[in-house]
Parts: sequence; C-alpha cells; structure tokens
Amino acid sequence: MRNLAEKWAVVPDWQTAAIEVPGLAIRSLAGLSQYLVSGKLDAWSKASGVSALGVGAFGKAEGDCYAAQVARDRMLVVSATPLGIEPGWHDAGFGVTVVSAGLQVFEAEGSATAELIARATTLDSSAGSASAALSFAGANAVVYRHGDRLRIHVDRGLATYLWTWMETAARNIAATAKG
Amino acid sequence: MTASRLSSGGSAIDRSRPISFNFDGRTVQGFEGDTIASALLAADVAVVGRSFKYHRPRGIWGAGVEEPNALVDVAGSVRATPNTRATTEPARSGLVAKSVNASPNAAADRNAFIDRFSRFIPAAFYYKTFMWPDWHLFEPRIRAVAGLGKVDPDWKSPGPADQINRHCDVLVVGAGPAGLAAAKLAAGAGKSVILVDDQPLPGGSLLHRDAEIDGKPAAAWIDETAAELKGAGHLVLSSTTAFGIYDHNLIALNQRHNDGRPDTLWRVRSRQIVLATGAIERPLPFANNDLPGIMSADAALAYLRRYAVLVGRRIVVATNNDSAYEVAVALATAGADVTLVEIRKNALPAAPSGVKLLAGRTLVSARGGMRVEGVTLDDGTSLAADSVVVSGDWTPTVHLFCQARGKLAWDETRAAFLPGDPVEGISVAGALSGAVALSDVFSSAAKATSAIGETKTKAPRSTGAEATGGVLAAWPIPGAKGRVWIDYQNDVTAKDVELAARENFVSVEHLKRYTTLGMATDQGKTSNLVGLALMANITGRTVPEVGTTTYRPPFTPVPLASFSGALGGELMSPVRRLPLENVHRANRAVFQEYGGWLRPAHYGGAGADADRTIQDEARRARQSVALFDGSTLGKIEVMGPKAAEFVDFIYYNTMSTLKPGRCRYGFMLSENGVVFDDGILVRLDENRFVVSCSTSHVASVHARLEEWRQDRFGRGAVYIHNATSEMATLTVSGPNSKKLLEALDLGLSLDDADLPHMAIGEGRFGEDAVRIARVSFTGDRSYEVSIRADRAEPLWARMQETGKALDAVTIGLEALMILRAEKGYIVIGKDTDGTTLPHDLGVDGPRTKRKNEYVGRRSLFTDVAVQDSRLQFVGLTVAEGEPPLATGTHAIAKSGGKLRSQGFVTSSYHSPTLGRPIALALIERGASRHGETIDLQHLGMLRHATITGPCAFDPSGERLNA
Repeated sequence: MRNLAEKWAVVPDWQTAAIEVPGLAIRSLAGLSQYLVSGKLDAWSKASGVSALGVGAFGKAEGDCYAAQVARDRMLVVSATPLGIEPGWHDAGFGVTVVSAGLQVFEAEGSATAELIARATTLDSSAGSASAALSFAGANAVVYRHGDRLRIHVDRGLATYLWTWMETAARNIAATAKG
Repeated sequence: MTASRLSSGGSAIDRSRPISFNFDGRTVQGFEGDTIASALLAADVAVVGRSFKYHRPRGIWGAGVEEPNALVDVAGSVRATPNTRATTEPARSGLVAKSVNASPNAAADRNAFIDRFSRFIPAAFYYKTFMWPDWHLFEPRIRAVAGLGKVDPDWKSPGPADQINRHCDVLVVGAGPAGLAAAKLAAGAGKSVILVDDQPLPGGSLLHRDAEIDGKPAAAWIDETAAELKGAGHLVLSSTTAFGIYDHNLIALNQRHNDGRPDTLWRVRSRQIVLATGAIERPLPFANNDLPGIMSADAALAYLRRYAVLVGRRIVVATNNDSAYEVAVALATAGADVTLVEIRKNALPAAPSGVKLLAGRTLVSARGGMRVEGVTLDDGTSLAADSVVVSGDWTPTVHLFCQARGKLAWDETRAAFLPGDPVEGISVAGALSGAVALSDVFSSAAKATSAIGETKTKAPRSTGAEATGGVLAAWPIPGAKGRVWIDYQNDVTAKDVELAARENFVSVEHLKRYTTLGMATDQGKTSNLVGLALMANITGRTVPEVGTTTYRPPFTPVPLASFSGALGGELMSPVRRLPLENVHRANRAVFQEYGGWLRPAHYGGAGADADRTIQDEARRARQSVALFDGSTLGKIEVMGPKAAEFVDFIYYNTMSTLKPGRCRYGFMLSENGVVFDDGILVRLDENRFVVSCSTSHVASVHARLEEWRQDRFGRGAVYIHNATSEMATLTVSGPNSKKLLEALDLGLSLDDADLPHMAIGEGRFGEDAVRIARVSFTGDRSYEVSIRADRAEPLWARMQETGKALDAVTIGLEALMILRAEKGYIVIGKDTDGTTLPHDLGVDGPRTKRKNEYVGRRSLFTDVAVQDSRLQFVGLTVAEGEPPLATGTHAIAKSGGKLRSQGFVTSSYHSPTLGRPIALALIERGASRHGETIDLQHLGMLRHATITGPCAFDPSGERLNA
C-alpha cells in the first residue's frame, strides 16, 4: 500500500509559518474566538452587544470584536476574547455555534495584497459585496479587511491547501513584479 | 541567396545583441527582437515546415497570428511549446525549434512522396476509403502520419501558470492606431483602461506602414501614447492575445513571457470592450500559390521595416487592391527588382516609383519546387522571381465580435464581412469596422468610445498621406487549372471545395467538416472567406447567403497550462487534513485518501506488511481497546423552533421523539427513496440537534439540509451550521474502553445508567469542554470523545499514554472497516448503490408505520420499490479454509442457458476475530434466502457461498455493554 503522506505536503506549523515576498506577507492568526450566528441578528446584537452590521466582501472591520456577513441572516462574529454567550438556540430568535477552531484565519498585508485577491477571486475588490463569504482560491472562505490587512477565514481542513495555493500565488506575484 | 538581412534598419531588432538558435539541426543567427520567422527569413531558410496531408513544402506566409504554415515545436531551456507559430514566437539564444510534420526535417521530408499521390487522396478520401473492414484498423497508422507538432512527454513546466482577474471600465483589444486612439480617449474620459495587443510592442500596422499623426512620425506618437497610458496607471499588456469573449463581457487574455515564466491567463471583466482587432490579408488564387517564397505583401513590408529583412531580390508583387502599392515601393527602395502585377485596369493609385507595373493582369500559376522560381500571367507572360508577395485584400478580424454573438454584414465595396448591428457593451474601431484611411480609423475610434463618456482628450489627427481602399474582388474560379490552394495548413484546394459541392456538402459547416477547410491551429484566418466565396460561386449564391462558420474561442491556440493555472498537482483536488495529521505522521501512520480526507489507513510505517498490520489492529481492537481518529465525521448543527419537525422531514426515521441527550441512528433518503446517507443524530436540547453524517457526505448533506430549510421551512424556523471542523472526534472502542476513559477523568459519570448506549454526556479535559457520545461503529462498547480541534493533541496523547497499560491499539480506517463488516454495519456507497432503498437493508419500519411526510417517502411505494426481485442486503459465508471472496464478485444464476447476475459482493475481508472470511452483499431476494448456497463468479472463477444475515459477530449485541 502506497503511503499517500508522500503525495501531500506536511501541514505547516501555523505558529511559525510565513509567506513573504516583496509587497506581501501572510501568516496564520491564532487565538480569535469565532461564532456563527443565524436568525434575528438584531436580537443577537441586543443580547451580545456586538453590532449586527457585518462587513461584506473586502469590507473594513475595525476593533477587537466585529462581524462579517456571510448570508442574509447569518454572520461570522469574530472577537479577540471569548464572548459570554452560550452556543445553541436562543429564544430571542437566533442560534449560535462556536467555530473558533473550525475556521483557520490567515492575515495578509502589504502593497501586493490586491494582487493576491486578483488571483484568488473573480470578485472586484473595489466594488465589494454584501456578503463576505466567497470563493477564495476555490475554497469557501470569509474575506474582509481588518485595518490595513486582509483577513481570510477558511475551513480548517482546507487550510493547508489554501496555504500552498498562497505560496504559489506569492511566487507568481513576485515574478510578475520582477518581470 | 534571395532573402537577406539589410545592413541597417529594423525597428524591432537590437543589433547590439546577437542571438543564435537551432532550427531543424542548423544554427540560425539573429538579433534580439527577432521572431523565429524573421530570423529564418534573414537566414534565407525557405522551407520551414510541411503541410498536414500531402507534406508539401511550406514557407513563411505572414508575420503574425494568422500564420498557417510556419509552425514549429519549440524546446530548449526557456520555454517549450509544441506547434507554435514561428511568426509570433520570439527568437532567443538556446532555443531549439523543429519544423512540424516533417521527418527528419522540413527541407528533406521522407514523406514528401505522398504529394505525388494527391490526386488519389482528395478531400474526405479517408471517409470513403477506409470503411472496410473497419476504420479502426487504419486509424492508428493514419494518425501516426497525420497531425502537426509533437508534445514532449518529458518536458516539465518551470512552474504553474499565473491566473489573474481584473476589472476595468474599458478594455481595448488591439494597440494599433484605432486601439491606441480609443484607449487614449477612454482614459481622457476618466475611465480605467486596459489595452492589450498580441505583438511585443504597441503600434499594430503603424509599426511598418507610413503615417504621420498630429504632425509627428507614427513611431513617436505610439511611444508617447503608450507612455501616457502607463503613466496614468492604465494597464498596457503586450504579447497578449484576447482569445475569447464570454458572458457579461468577460474577456480572456493569454499573455506570453520571454523570461521563462509560463503564460499568464487574464480574466478581465470590463464594462465596455472596444475591439480594434484589425484585418488579415488574404492570398490570391492561382495555381501553386502555396510554394515557399510566396507570402503576404503586408508581411513582407513588416519584415522589411521591423526586422530589416528583404524577402527577395527579384520580387513579383501581385494585388487586387491599393494596399500593396506601398509594399512594392518599399521593396524597390530597399534594392529589390520589383514587378507589380495589378488585376485592375482602371482607377488605380498613382504609379509606384521604381516599380514595373503590369495593370490588368492576373497571376495564373507559380512555378518552382522547394521555393518559387517564377510566375505565369493570364496573358502567358512568364516572370522570373525568387519571391512573390501577394495581397488579395483584407478580411476584418471579426472573431471576437462574433464570439460575442455579433452578426456580420456583407460589404460589397470592401468585399468583406464587417460587424453588423451593435452588441451591447462592445464597440468596434479601425480596420475591423471597415476603415482604411487613418483619419477614418481615428474617427471610428472616437465613435467607438463616444458612449463611454465625455473625454477631455483630443482625438488624434492624421497629418500625413492617407491609405486608400480601392479593391476589385478576386475570388477563386471553379474549374481553374492546376492546384489552387485555399487552405495552406490543411491542404485544401479549390478542387476540394468543388468536390464538396458536387457531393452536396454545400452548407458552410459541412464544407468545413468535409474538406477540413478552416480547421487546425489557424482556424482558417487566411482561407475561410476565400473558400466560402468559391462555394458561393459554384452554387450560384452570394457570399452572405453561404455565410460563415461559427466563431468560437480560442482565437489562437492557448496552452493548457494557462487554463489549469496553479490548480495542478496537490492543488487540483485537495484533500482535507485532520487536526492530528502531523501526530499520526509521527506515529508512523500510512495514509490513504478516503472521502476527500487524508487519513491513516493503518499504522506501523510503509515498510510494514499492510495486510498483517491491519489484521493485527482489528484483532487487538476486539481484545482490549482501540483508539481511532474519527474527526472527519460530520457535525452539522440544526437549530431553531422547528428543528425537530425539520429532522423528522429530513430523516427516514422519526427523530422528533428523541430525548435531549440521546442519539439515534437513521437514514436520509434521496427524493427517489434511495439511501443517501446514514448516521447518528444527536439531540442536544429541545431545539438543537447535531447531524453526524458520513465523512464523505458532509458537504452534500450540509447542502441538502440548507436547501430543504430554505425551500420548506423558511426564515425563523430552523438554521443549519456546519461545525464539522470545529471538533476533533477521538474514538475509544473495545472491552476496555470504559476503563481507559475512566482513567482520563473527564469529569462525568460513565456508569451505564448515566451514560447508556446511544446517549451523550458533557465533560472536561483540563480547561476544555468535551462531548462524549456513546455510539459504536465496531459493535463493541465505544465512546466518541469530541474536543476543540486545536486542543485535541494533548487529549490524544493522554489516551495513548493511558492505553499502554491496557494494551491499547491505535487503528486506521482499514481495521475499522473489518470491525464494522463483522457486525454487518453498512457504508453508504460501498454496501449500497444508486438503487438501494431502506427496506432493501432490512429497515422497513418507518416505511410501513410513518404517516407524516419525509424526503423520499412516495418513492418507497412504487412498483419498482416493491418488486420481489430487489437486491437485498445479506452476509455470505464460504466453506472452511477458502479465501475471502473478491469485492465485486457477482452471484450468478442460469437462466435460459445464459448466466445472469443475481447481485454482488459489496464488502469482503478476513476476520481475525472469527478466523474466517466474512462478506456483505446485495443479493436478489436475499432476505428470504438465508441458508441457501449460491454460485458466484469472478474473473472466470466459479465459487460458492451461503447466504446469512449481515451480522457475523456478536449478533445479540452483548458487547455493546460488555
């Protein structure tokens, strides 16, 4: 039986993994609390104190606690510290599921971030979209800006794939800039 | 010596940087900026390839993408491409080019003899000739002889091709005078502009045609305009071909690089597209018009002015239009002896100085062998020539316009199809729109950009001499003597078109398929119009009545690497990764791909005997305790006030009666009743369930739940969250599983009264919450412990450490498959197929008892669903001492003297615990045939087995609580 571990790159050590080419740096971001919230988002906002106005694709989020819209009545809530709200259904009309470990977060910065976006998605990053959920390098992801950085949330199982893809894209970006 | 490089001139080449490359085994010198074609011409290489069918010698015809003849396979260290056009491929040192369809080389092709038999092998001969006894008998040999170019199977790409998406206000295709003007005007209107051109430098025809713009030489205006655009942040892409227009103004570009990088694919979405794609010069019809040394007049001018290559010393220029006059004068000025043969008698441009003009004459034939030696005119005049340059007028490059569903209109004056009614979001300019004079070209650019917005830029003005567009159509005539070539690449003659007409292939699409006119790499850029004009003549129709074939992408061949981009190798179909993958690697797991995940198949390293290791893992799992990483199992949350009603509808089994803290096994059916997935449903509280579906079905089950939620339940009723990746699930199974779990001290009672089979409990491991589900896929007492994925490693390590005292074994998926098969537990898609209904698996209760609606219900009562002959799920045993049956083995029965399948083996293993083979199968009427011995056949071998119940181990289920 062939060991297919040889076929696939080893999962990076996310604590130290980094992609760096001129104009672009990408790293993994650990420690964020993440929650999927569905239902009456105003009710959620009232209960949690977190704004129900989630950013859309490439929208700019600010602060330590914010939300990204992922569907008409669904948000990904991101917080630097755990929120004191129970997972599950709330009678006020919303449901909460913790996905802190389920979504890997990558952060990209630098002048070539737009070039990374141009390779990852057909969306016009200057036009934006109401939903931050989009296909990023072929993977379902939640993508927005936090400060001057781009944050990408992707299913943990596909994080290694996306990392390898971003390594390839970064090499292409560097070659294009050089060429 | 005929063609040669002049001692000065050549706007495209850098004489300070000489290069050399290899063509067909000989070294060719050139300069940086040369194409392969220009360097070959400068070296006086006349024969650069062989034609597709007859292996006739082929010389260079054009100077751009229209080239039908000069195709080469390029190898070497920088960029390898089969079948590329020598006219667009930059020459560079180290490049190795080989002519196509020639053996050993173009100059001395051993298959050239085929041309002598050409009269016996006209168009479509093989459709008629090789029918008996079987086309497939001849096909391999014909394919070996035919074809253009060879792929080098050993070549490796230097890396994946880049793919870039862009958005802009205006995309201009073509950086000739019209394109540059349109881009400048659009930029002046404040729009974001992308300008693309397939040449290495912008300028188009201005790079070799005389012009003065805004009082400046054309070259200065080009540089100024391109610099302005770039300086203002607009994107100007050279060596880039727009090869396809798709829905919503998506336009695909392929950019070539000269630094070793693979081509780049650009996907541009533009609000407005301006097509300034120019026009392509057509050949003239006369016998032997395909000889090497006969080329496009415009190409001859391009080689002269851009590469300082004079294509001959004694040149005949033949034309039916005004554009060749400038060519004739330029060639004469460069030192050639030029005779201009003009079809027209009247209304001619001013007589060209230094050129002998023969007006009202027509070329009827060319003579020569490996290159042209002379021509004969219609009055019998014979002219010696080492080069014949011809212009049969211009065909506007309408391909992209037509791809965008634009309709063409025939222009009798221009003897060409021009873009007809406008297409929304697309405008046309320059020669494509029929403009000839530069002032008309600029007017068309202004018109094409007029709808974009008010521009602050002044439209450029032509201040020099203007081109004129006089033309007298010169189409092939039926019955002409000799071989008048229509399609150079595919060896299609006028006689072939006449043959097609005689055999009633008169539709333009039939003509293409019957004769191959317009096929292959050039897609008839120089030949299509000539061919259909001849068909019009033969059939008494007009050219527009014959019409054109359908224009489809790509405009020019595009490397497959451009389309695949980075998504090859690991990135093509990526597997998902376990949270503990690196731990399993360290623990010498051997991995396989299962259901889209990379998972341990077994442990012990790749050097271990896999079968023995797997058997050992399965045996030890029954003896003490097994540890297994089950993190891939679905964990999809269903919550909301109607969650219970929802899961009732989704599942075959009634789920709403499940108590909080309990689990239930159930099926999901497709709309046609087929078992779609099976798994455990956990009820966490009144309004919250967790669907634990099969590993490989997580995405499809999630989509299915979301679809039914939206379609049937609406907002506010129920919500679906896929949290599969949030938790790692570590399974502890076997007689000592409870002991191991107790030693972990997870902070909950594991007594059977508190945590019975099919119940869940909540505990803690250190600071982390864990959920323990007492469910089993082995038939032994089992616990699935779920913990945050990123905190699973310490728990797994603790389990391993604690397990040592209990002789615990870590098992891979292969051992688990044996354990579940011993119990007769199914794997959907393996033990079922696309016809298996729940009652085929022995689960009939919900079908007969449930009164409310659920997905798939109605399909369980159709005639097919209740047939006696359905395949039903059973076990099989073989005689003592016999090996396991092969999975896929068919149960057979004799019917009317023939063998008939009665079903097949779905799973088969050797059970180390039972010490004998076990098998699961779907067998016709199997449920009522327990105890019957049946015949089975696999790869011609006949065997026997006895039908049993699916469960071969612990049928009473005592071990679940042992």
